[in-house]
Amino acid sequence: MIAKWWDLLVQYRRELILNPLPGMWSFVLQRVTGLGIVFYLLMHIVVMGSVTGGPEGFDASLGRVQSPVIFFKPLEFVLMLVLLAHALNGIRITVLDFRGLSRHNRVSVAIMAAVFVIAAAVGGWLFLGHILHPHG
Amino acid sequence: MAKISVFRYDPELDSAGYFDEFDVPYRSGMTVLEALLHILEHEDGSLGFRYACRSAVCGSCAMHINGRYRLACATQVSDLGDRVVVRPLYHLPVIRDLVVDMTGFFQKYERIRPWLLNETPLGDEERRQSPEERARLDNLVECILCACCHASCPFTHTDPEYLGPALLLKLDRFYADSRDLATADRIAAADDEHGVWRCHTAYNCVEVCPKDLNPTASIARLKGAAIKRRFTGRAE
Ligand code: SF4
Ligand code: SF4
Ligand code: FES
Repeated sequence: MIAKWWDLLVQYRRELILNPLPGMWSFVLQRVTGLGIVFYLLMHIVVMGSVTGGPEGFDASLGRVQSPVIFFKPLEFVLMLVLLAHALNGIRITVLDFRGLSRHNRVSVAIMAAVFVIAAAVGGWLFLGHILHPHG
Repeated sequence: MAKISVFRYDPELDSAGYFDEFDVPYRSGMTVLEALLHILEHEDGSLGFRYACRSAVCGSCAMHINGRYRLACATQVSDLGDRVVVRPLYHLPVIRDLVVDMTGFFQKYERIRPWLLNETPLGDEERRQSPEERARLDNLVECILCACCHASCPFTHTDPEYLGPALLLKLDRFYADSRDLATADRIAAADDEHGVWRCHTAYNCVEVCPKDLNPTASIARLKGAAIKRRFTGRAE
């Protein structure tokens, strides 16, 4: 199983070398962020599932994943970036497919990148701002 | 002089492929195909590659040249920088050097029945089309089956049964033809595990097509028709 995943990664790397094209990068981004989200959801379900152990169990497991805050907040921010990239790219290719815009792949990648940077900056300020300015 | 690196592989002699370097006297307007012909005539008569028309019509000379799949006969050496690196099409088995086995590609081509399906008897006239009906086939009829797009698509590798961009474009060519009456069959062929749903919209095919065709638009159109057929039962 692991060997198969590894082969796939080697394969993507090779495809990227042979096709250094924006659409290829966005496809690999979609796959990698997709896998990351699956992994996150599994952890999320395990943590949320601890609610069956009563309030103490729930608080304990939340406390475990949320501390220290200095790691948790940046990780939460990374999660936001991953979700943002996956969602934006998914919307992008769906719109291209169903609005007959397939000639505009490159432009759409550029627009997506711009939206991503703006949203990431706003998100970064919301998620991390109070770590940098704890009293502000 | 132009420096050309060429992928070499002879299944009877080599356990793996490697690159051979050649210096080819450059002359203005030289194409990669001419450079390969120079090597064949003056340096190494055992170099294997395909070509026929030399004018971007037959599709035989498709290969990977400096970071992109393209036709050797339609690629100027002067556009490529100091060094030219030539490899065979990927995702198709290498027979020798730059020659790949296209059997699987053409088997899939037959699977889509690339001819008009129309049982109504022909009278004394050919089957007519209005200029608008013919216009729908513009571009779609221009594919030269070079397989540049097929080689660039990451999914023709992960699913060897996947029809791939060239053959889905061809399927769209018959789906869009007013004289073809097998519309429901055409959509069913696209609406398949190895059909349009394998496409992940990476656009490599559109980027590399030497004829500037748009397989992804064809795939999107067939996706739309497949969805409509599933929801409404109508094939249109
Ligand atoms: S758009 Fe679809 S068919 Fe074209 S290269 Fe990408 S995945 Fe393959
Ligand atoms: S669609 Fe373009 S790249 Fe693909 S086989 Fe036809 S001509 Fe070649
Ligand atoms: S030799 Fe015919 S397309 Fe290049």
